[in-house]
Order: sequence, then structure tokens, then C-alpha cells
Amino acid sequence: MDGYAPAYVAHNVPLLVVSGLGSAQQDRADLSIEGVRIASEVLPVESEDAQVLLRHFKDSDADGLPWNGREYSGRKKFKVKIVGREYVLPLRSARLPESSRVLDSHTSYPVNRPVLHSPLSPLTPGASVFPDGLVDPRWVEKHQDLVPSAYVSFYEFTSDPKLAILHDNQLKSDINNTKRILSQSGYRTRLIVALLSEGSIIKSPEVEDRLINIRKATGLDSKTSLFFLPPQSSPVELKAFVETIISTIYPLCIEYYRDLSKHSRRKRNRGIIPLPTSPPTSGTSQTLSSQGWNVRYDFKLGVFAEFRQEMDAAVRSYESGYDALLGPDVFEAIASWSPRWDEARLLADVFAIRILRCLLWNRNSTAAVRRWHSHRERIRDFVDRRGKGSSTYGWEAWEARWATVMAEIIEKASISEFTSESTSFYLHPEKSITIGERLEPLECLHHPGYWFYLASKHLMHRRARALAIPEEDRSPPGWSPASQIASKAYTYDTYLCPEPHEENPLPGRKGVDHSLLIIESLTKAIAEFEKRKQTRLVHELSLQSANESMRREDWDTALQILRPLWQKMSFRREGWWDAVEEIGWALRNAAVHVGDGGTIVAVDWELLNRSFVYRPKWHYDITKSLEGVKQVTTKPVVVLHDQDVHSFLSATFVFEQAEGKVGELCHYQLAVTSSALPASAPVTMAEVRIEFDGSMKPLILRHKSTTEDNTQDRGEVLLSTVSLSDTLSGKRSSQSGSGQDRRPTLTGEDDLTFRPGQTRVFGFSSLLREAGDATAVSATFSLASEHFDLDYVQRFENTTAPDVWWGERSVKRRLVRPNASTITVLPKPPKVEMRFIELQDQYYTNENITLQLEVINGEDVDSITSLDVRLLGDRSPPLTLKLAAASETETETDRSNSLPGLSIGKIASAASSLVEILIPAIDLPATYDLMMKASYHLVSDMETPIYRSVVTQLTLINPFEANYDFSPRIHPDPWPSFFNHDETENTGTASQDIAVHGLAQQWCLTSRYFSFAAEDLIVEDIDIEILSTNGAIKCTTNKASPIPSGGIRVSPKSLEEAEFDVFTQKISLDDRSTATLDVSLAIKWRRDKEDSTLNTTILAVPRLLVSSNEPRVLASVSYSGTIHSTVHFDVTIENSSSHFLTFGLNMEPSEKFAFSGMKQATLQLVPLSRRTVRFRLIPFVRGDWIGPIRCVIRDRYFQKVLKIAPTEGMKIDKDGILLWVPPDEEF
Amino acid sequence: MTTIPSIACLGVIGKNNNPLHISIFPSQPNNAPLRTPLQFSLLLSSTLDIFEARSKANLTSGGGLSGDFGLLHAIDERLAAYGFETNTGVRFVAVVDMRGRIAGGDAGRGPAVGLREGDMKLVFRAMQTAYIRLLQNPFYDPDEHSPPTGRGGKKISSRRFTEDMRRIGESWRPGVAAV
Repeated sequence: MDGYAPAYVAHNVPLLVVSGLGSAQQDRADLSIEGVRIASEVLPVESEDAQVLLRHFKDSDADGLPWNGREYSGRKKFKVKIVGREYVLPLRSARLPESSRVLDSHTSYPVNRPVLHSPLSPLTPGASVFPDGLVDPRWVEKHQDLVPSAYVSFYEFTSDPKLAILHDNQLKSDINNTKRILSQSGYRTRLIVALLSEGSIIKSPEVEDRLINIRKATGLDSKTSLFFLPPQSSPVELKAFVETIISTIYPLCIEYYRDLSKHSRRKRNRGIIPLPTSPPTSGTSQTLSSQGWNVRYDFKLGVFAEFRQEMDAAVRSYESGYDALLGPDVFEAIASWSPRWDEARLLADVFAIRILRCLLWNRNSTAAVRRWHSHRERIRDFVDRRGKGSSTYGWEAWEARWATVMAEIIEKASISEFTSESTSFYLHPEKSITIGERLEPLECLHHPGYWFYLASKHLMHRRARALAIPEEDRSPPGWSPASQIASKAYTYDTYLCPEPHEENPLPGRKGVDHSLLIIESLTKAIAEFEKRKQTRLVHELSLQSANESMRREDWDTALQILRPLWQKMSFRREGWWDAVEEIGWALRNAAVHVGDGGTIVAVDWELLNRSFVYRPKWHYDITKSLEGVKQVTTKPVVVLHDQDVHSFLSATFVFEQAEGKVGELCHYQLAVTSSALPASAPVTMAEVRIEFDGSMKPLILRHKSTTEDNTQDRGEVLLSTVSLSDTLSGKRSSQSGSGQDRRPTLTGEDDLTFRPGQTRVFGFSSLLREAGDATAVSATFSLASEHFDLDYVQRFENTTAPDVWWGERSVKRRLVRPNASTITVLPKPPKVEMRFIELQDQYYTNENITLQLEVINGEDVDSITSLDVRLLGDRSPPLTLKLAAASETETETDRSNSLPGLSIGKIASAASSLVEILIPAIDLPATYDLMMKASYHLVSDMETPIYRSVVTQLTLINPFEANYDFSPRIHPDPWPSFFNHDETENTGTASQDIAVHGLAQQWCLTSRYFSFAAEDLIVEDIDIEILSTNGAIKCTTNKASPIPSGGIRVSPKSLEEAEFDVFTQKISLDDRSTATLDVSLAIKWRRDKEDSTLNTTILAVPRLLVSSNEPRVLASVSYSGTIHSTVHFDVTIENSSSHFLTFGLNMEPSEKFAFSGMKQATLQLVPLSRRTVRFRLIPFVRGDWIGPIRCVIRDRYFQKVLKIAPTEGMKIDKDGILLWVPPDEEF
Repeated sequence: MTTIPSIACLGVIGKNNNPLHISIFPSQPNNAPLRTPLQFSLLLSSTLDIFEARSKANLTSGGGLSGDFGLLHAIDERLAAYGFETNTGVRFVAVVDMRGRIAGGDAGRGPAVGLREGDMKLVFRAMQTAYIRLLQNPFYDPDEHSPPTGRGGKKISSRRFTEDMRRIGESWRPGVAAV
């Protein structure tokens, strides 16, 4: 809205003049204008409160608020003007012009007295609109800036009672004076008086009286015109005071503007043109038509309605005025060469702007766009019919202006949808538009960015039109003949835009910088689009802006815009290649002029891609990139990354196998495809460097020019195998300065020329050195030319395209792996083997175990090995390792200290070494894990330790288990007599055999042991060990069954029996207590093989009970040596008690045998005696058990049957004792 | 000379915001495209900003289920872009030239300036039908055209699809029953 007078287009708010607050330095300049002067003798109020009030007034200034109803409904209602004690109101009526006064005196003008009009009226000679102009913008200015609706005058209200009367009188006269001046001025400005009481007085009736007095004397209304600020008011009260004043006088001020409206409307309705002060004398005698006057009145009515914030009324007035203006009688009637024509056009614009504002104020957005549109169409129609046509630069300039105006109005209206965070790009049609009505898309009000963009397009059209001006029209005035100037005036529309000689100046002259105008407009548009995150559109406009900068040859600015644009634009990522290309070429153009070599090279690299359109005149040779570029001072070093540039080279990297092992040969391929434009020159790289992540060394492929003519190699796919060598190389030692980070790399050489459309496949193979995952991360293509260095870094990323392994003659093989550029390198498989020699099937407890471990070196070279063996399990014993061969003491053992365990030393390839593992005897059966770990180096690679571990299970079991039978026997020795005295007692006997006088008893311990072994074992000996005795007995044992020399061979799961005689004797004869024996069975056994060691297995025997105080009956059998087939059956009754016992004996006859002996008897036994009763039996059977022998011995006293215990050669069942009768031949 | 809207450009934009297909149609009175192919490309690309902003808004508000984005924006008085998004994230954009066609003999209905809300639905339905038919072709691999890596993609090269687009663009006019 630059072209329009600010007052013309600004929104109108009531004007409030505040005078008498603060020091009076404000607005001195105003005093110089001609007008009615309000002056006052009273000094301005300068107290602190006054300053605060002043600030509050300034804060409530409504000037510059956004144009919408929301903002104005608040506290800010007035345009506030702060003045001192003096103020000048403009003259209401013009003075009588001198000339007319002169005329008056001489001519016979009948008019008695000229009518005076406003100095801005077309009726007043000397006014700018005299005699036929429409509106002077100063008229709006007068009401908005000069003539207030209310004049607030602040006075101090003194507290001194002595001065009160004097002071009040002074006040009264001053107020009355001001009032008088105001009323004389002709304006209906209201005078408001505000009294600020001085600091210290207390409110009292006296003050009330004084106030009433003043009010009466000045005729001010106490409610609306006279305000009093009580003393010592708080800041809140001060603020409230200002607000009260404003809110109280606001309706009055609105009334003031309503009165002005009424005045205008009255004049309009009168319908007659007032007579001018003096008739026009110069130029045309034409005066403003009555329709023109109506336009004037409608404009005034609209402005006053705006003052009152009545936008609907304002729109009505403006529309009426607009229609009248563009109607047949006003605009049409003005000659197009006249300056009035432009003025009328300007007024039409102002009408339209004000209408647009009012529509937006009421949120009629679609109506506003339609209004905007219709105004343009009407003006175009006018210009085409009456003016210079709409195909001039002037028209385009106005179109641009008109779009900019719309953008600015929308901005000023600050529509909530566009200002808040919501992402609306346009407004939906307001409710008054019926749904389903046909709408132009632009009629949905778009945000200002679109309007600025529209303006920039019109500016471009304007430039195109301007550039088409023929040269003869472009010469400055004064150079060309008058006739030409005249024709120029008829050809070119210069409404609000410069003359042709400025619009498109001749070379060397100053004129309009179209590009700058366009850039300004674009910049505003970009800011708006950026606010709404329309990044792609911003990119597009940035490109246009840069193009304009280049047009102005402002290369630096263009480069500053384009360089980041080229880097971050979304077009490349999203594949809009035509846009990328456009930006690329533009950037190259700018960079060439600035001399940014790096950028040129980068752009050239990208433009080689086949995605872009081929430009026939371009060389497409990256090495010639900087040819002809002068300003490049330093040699550029360019590093490009694949995500930043749409490169024509693309590389993939595949390993043939997904897994490999350390030490194995691994094959991999780098395939480089060039999708350069077919006409481009081949690109030769200096080196390609492949970086790995993980356990592989970087690979460098260097260029080696091949001398042979390789034109025949122009096949689509070219496979070459590159041999690699290990080197230490600095990473671009020339670049990094110090060649310190020298790393081991693999290096190879090949021809690194990439032709357009060709796929080069480089096959490599190398040994895998380190276990772990290795991933090819990136390939860096380095190009070194004499003008620049270029590195293109491509990361190998997962693509959806299947990875391909290239074979000979372009055979492809798909690799079905998620990521073929990764290899898993497994550790080298150990080839050292460990195995046991002569491992037994089963090992037993109580056995010293010796395991023989053979360590076999299966590697191709010698290894230096050490062995670590552990037995893992519950209470595992420590074990010892021993080298079987004595020749192990070699010097290598010292060197291989780093390896844990027993050092075995060097084992030659395919040789072996024997280690003995000694495990001490273990008592309890258990299961252990035997873990053997061999760690070794190869002589050829002392760095890499290799581990081999073997775990076997070792289960130990008991070889034997046994059960026992403990039965009584008849001691052969006679019992000591209870009645004899033996003198030899206690004398001369050996000290250990002391005093054994008690009863001796014989027992038989029968042990049946069972072999759990897996093989035959030789039992060498078996014996009983007496562990302890309880109850004062002496005990000796005797092996009853002898072991043959060479032992008994016990086969698995067989039962063997061993009998032992146990002799016990009480130490004292009087001791009758029960005694026990604790014994164990010791089996000495060995394995059934040569020189096996003898092991002893101790088996526990349950506690044996030896009782001696009860009488017992033992049966025994003997076979008669004389009488054939006679069996002696003896029953021995032992009375070991000290009582005299009587037993009844009863022997029953049996069918199995005949017997002789006592059939029934009574036996009497003295204490400590025994007696044997013999029966002679003649059995009827041979070779069989006979019985049961029903012999019942009964204690007569206790009536208790004694059980007869069998001894050897007998057995017992539930009925009685059974005897063995041998067959005949054995008797 | 009454003018009515016509289609100036039809664009199919892939999931990766990459152009899949662009058809440009001539406008009256010169019977030549209103803009260069580059300008149409940029215009189509600029609609992505709006698609993104609207999708984000739809996520929070839960709207936009139908996929019809309606008017995206009007770039000037003649060209306006309308959009549609399929469930798979493929965007159809129709750029309408508001004065692209000279009204024929049926001018008796009066000047049909502007568009109704539902006028473009027909175009998008036809485009979607054509696109679905393209997808049914077993040799058409959608992943090739919008790779899951999220960058770029090939353009549609189907002659039949191009023909369909041409037919839609040429036969559409406001208020027709079918294209």
C-alpha cells in the first residue's frame, strides 16, 4: 500500500487529544500550522501520577492495531495524541483568497459576500481538488490526526486552602477560555477536564464544594466531562482512572462522529452543488458534478462509519460511493489525459481497499476475494476502454501492487487461522456462501504468501513488458522531440509507476531495478510460506529469487541462496529430477561467477547422471569442470556423500559367502555401475577405497593405466580380478599432513576408468585374519586432477534390489541374504585333537585312575601347545598332569608361558604327545566332568591363540557291595567253671592280654559280596577288620574260607561268599552285659590285567551284637565215622546266667528219620555251664535235607521255649531245624 | 468467450513423495500447456507440503478417512491443485486450469465459473481405478516405484496407464457424469 497516502488507507479510530500532562515539549511543530490555537496559562501537571497517567494513555493508543473486530473490542479504543498546553486546530474554513478580494472590488460580481468553504473542498480556490477534484487525502488526515473528538485537559487541583480560591478562579477562567476557543473553531470537539488533586489533602466536604463551584462556573457535566482524581491514588486506581475516562467519553466521541456523518448525509441528500468561493478561472471551467459530490459524501460517510467502527455501514457507503465513482458520470466523464483521471483511479483503489478491509473485518473472506477480483476487472475494463490498455507495464505494475495490497491487508487483519499454529493454507468460504455454490479456488482466501507470490509474477510480467519498450521511448525527457514525448504520454500508463525512461532505462542510466522488486516480493512470500512449513514451495521460490539475483549479477547472493538449497532440497531425495537439474545448473552458473570451484565440481559431478536432460553443447567431462573458471584461487578439495548428491556412480559390495573362517580365503566383489549420460566422457578415478566396519582391513584399489587399447572392453559388464597385497598406507598422507595414521591396508591395482552405462566388477580375494563380523561400510572414490581433488563417498546401504554375485561372462547369481555386504568371520577351527588311550569302560572308587591323553597336532604346521585339565564336580580331587614322554624339556616351554596349564611344548605337524592325567583314589561314587583345554599357537602365526577344548564325563562306581550273616557257633573250648578257683589269674600274663576270664563264644560272619564291576576283577584277599568293640570283650577273627593264591576271579554280577570265624570272650566272667562289634570288610582287588595295582575297597558291616547273659540252645550236627549213615545231632544248652536253670526237653519223632536219645527229659544246669544232649539219627533219605526236627527245649521256670540256633551244616525253617543228609557215597 | 475449467496436469506421487506419473494437458486459447513441465513438476511437488500438513492435522483430529483432500491450494487465479491420497500413501493431484477450456455449444447454462466441492471426486475415482488396474499387472512391482528405503523410485511406464490419464484429463469438465 506504499503508493497510497497513509491516511487514505489506514483504518480510522476516534482521535483523543490529551493535553496538560507531563512536560510540554510535544508537538511544537504543530503550532506552526495555520489554525485555531488553544492556549492555556496554566502549567502542565508534572507530578509522578501525571507521568503514570501519561503512560497509561500512551498504552491505550489504538493506532497500529490489527484490523479486526477482536482487537478493537478491548481497552484500546482511541488514537491518543499527547500534547502540551497548546494545540492548534486546523482552520475550518479557508480564508478568502486574495485574488477574489481583489476581484470583488473591481468587478460587478453580484454576490455580496463569497461563501467560505473548507480549505480542502473543491469549492475553495487554491485547494488541491479545486475545482473538479474528488477527495483530498488530507481530509482524512484532518479528522484522523488533527481534529480530535475529545480534548482532555488535565489540571492540578491545589490542596493549599490559602491558594484554593485563587487557583480555582484561574482554573475556571482557563477552562472557559478553552471552551470558548473550541466552540469558536467550529468543531464540535468535546472538552473534558480532569483534575488531579495534589499530594496531601484529605477528602473533605470543602473539596466537594470547590468541585461543584468549578462545575457550575464552567458548565461541565460532572458525569461525562469533569473527572477528579482523589489524592494518593494507587497505581491500580490510576489505571482505572484512565480507563474510566476512556470508557465514559467513548460513547460521546462516537456521537461526535455520528454528528459528522449526519452533517454529510444532510448535504448529500440536499442534492445541490454549493457555489464555490470563486469560480474557477484557469484551465477548465468544469466543476465537480453532483455525482462527484455524492462520491465525496459517500466517502466521508464511510470514513465516519469507520471512526465509529461500524463496518457494515462503512461498506454500504463505500460501495455506493464506488459505484457512483465508476458509474457513467464521474470516472467516465474525466478525460484520460487529465491528472484527475489518475486521482479518480486512485480513489477507486482506496474505496476498494477500504471495502476489502471492512469485509475482512467482518470475516467475509470469500466476499473479500471476490471484491478484490471484481475491482481488478472493472479497472481493467476502464483502462482498456478509456486508458492506455491493460497490456502496458503500468497495468502489470498495478496488478502487482493490487496483489501486494491484498497480501498486506490480510496481514494487517491478522486472521486467527493464519496467525495461530493451525495449518490452514486458506480459509473456507464464510457461512453466507451457500454450500455447493461454484467457487473459484482462489476465492478461498489464501494466506498472504500466495498473494505476494502472485505479485511477484505480475512484477515479472511487468519487466517483460518494460523490456519490450522500444529504444526511442526510453530516452529521458529533453532528449527527444516533443512529438515523441506526446506519443509516449498516450502509450504508457504511468499510474503509480515511473516513466518509460526510468522503467527501462537506456544503458548507463538509473532506473527501476525490476529484479530487486521481484526479490522483495518473493522474500515476503518465502517468509509466509516458511511460517507454514511449505518447504517445497519455499525451495521453488528461493530458486526464482536466486535467478533474479543472478539477473542483477548479484552472484554472491545467488550462491548464498542456492548452495544450501542445492544441499538440502527435498527434490533430490524425492526424485524430482527436473527440479534438481534446474537448481544444479543455476548453482553452477552462480558458482562460476563467484569462483567457488568446489561447488562447480560438485554440481558437475551430479549433472553427469543419466536422470538429467542432456545438453548437447556441454562437454560432460568432470576433469574439464574448472576450465575457464578464472576466480578459483586455491585448488578445491571436494568431498561428496551419496545422500547429498544424486551421483552417477553407484557401488555395491558383496561377499560371496555369508560366513568364513579365519585363515580361509574369502572372495568378494565391488561392483561399480556408472549411470552417466551416454555422451559423457569416461571418468577415471585415482583410487577407490573401501572401508570396513569390524574385522577387516580397509582396501585400496589404485588406478593403473593399461596400455592396451581397451575399446573392446566396452561391454556392459566388465569383470576383473584384482590381486591384493598387504601394505601399510597413510590415509592420504598428503592431505592429513602427518602420515601418522598408517594403517595396514590391502592394496590392489586396476584400471579405474568408468564408462557411461558400464558396470565394472572387481573381484578380490583375501585371507580372513580376524574373527568377528565385518561389514563393508563405504566406498570412497577419489579423483585427483590438476585443478581439483574430489572424494565421493558412498555408503553401502541395504537396498531392496537383490545382491548379485557376478560370474564369468556376465553370469549373475542372486545372493539371498539380508545383507550381502556383511561377512561373519568365525574363529579358526582348531585342528589339534585330544583323545584318550586305553580308556577303561568303567572306573571304580578306591582306585587310582591314570588317564592317558594323546594330543595330536592336526595342523599343517608345528604348534606350541599347553594343556589345562580340570575335574569339575562335587568335591573333585586335585589332579596331576604328567608328560608321558621325558623328552618334553625343550626351550619352547619357557616361551609359551602365556598359555595356561601344563606346557606340552612343540608338537610337530601330524605328531602327537602323550599326557598322563592322574586322579587320586576317590572314596565315594560320583560323576565328574573332565574338561581338557588345549591352547596353542601355530609356529607360523604366533599372534593368534587357538583353543580346543574337550569335555568328557567320568563316572565312578563302587565295584562291590556285600551283605552279611552273623550266626552263633559252639566254642570248642570248655567253659571256665564257676566253682573252681584259678590261681594263675592276673599273674605273669602279657600286659595286652589282660584278664580274659569271661565266657568265650564263637560266631560265624558270612559275607556275600556282589560285583558291580563291568568286567572281571581279581579279588586277591578279603578280610575283616575289627574297627571297635563295645562292652568289654576281646575279639579275634579268623578267615574261615581260604583265598587261593592268585585270587578269585569275580565276574560281573556274580555273588561270592566268604566266611569268617569270630571269637569273642568277655574280659570278666561276671560281666553279663551285651556287647557289640564294629567291623568292616576289606576287599583287595585288582583289574584283570598285567601289572595292575591292587586296590582296597572297604565295605562297612552293620554292627554285630554279641549277647551273653541269656541261656541259649545251639544245635550242631556231625556225621558218624563208624556207623554208616548215622548222623549225630547235638543240642547244646548254654546257661551263661548265674542262675540254676531247669529245662524240659522234648524230641518228637519224625517220618524222615529214626533217632535214638532222650525223647523227653528234664535238664538242670548250674550257673555258667553247658550241657550237650546227643541224638543219633538215621535218616530215611539221602542227599536231602531232613526235618524239621521238632526238638523243644523249654525253660521250666519261665515256661519259655528256647529257640534252637543252628550252626554250620544246618538250616532253619519255620517248623524247626533242617539237617543235611549227604548222599550215600559221601558218608 | 466463456471459459470453463479444464485439467491442466494430472500427477501421481508415490509414497516416497516421488513423482510416479505426470500428464500435462494443453489449455485454451493457445491450445498449449499453461506452464513448462518443470513448473508443473514444482507445482506438484509443492502440494506435498500441504499433504503433509493435512495428514498431520488429520492424525490429531482423526479426520480425512476418505482420502479426498479437496482443494490443496490455488497457486494463482488460473491454476489450483486438488488432491487425493490412497490408503497406501499414493497421492493423486489434479491441477485445474480455471479458464482452460472455451465453453462449447452448451453455453446456455451460463458461465460456469468455479468448481463445486465434489467436482473433482470423479477425476480421483477414475485415477484410482486406473491405478488399481496398474497394480493388478503382475509385472508392476510397487516396491520398485517406491522403495522401502524411502528414497526416490522409478516412474510408471505403463502405456495403458498413461493412456488412461490422458483420457481422464481430456474428457473431464465440471459436472460431467463420467470420465
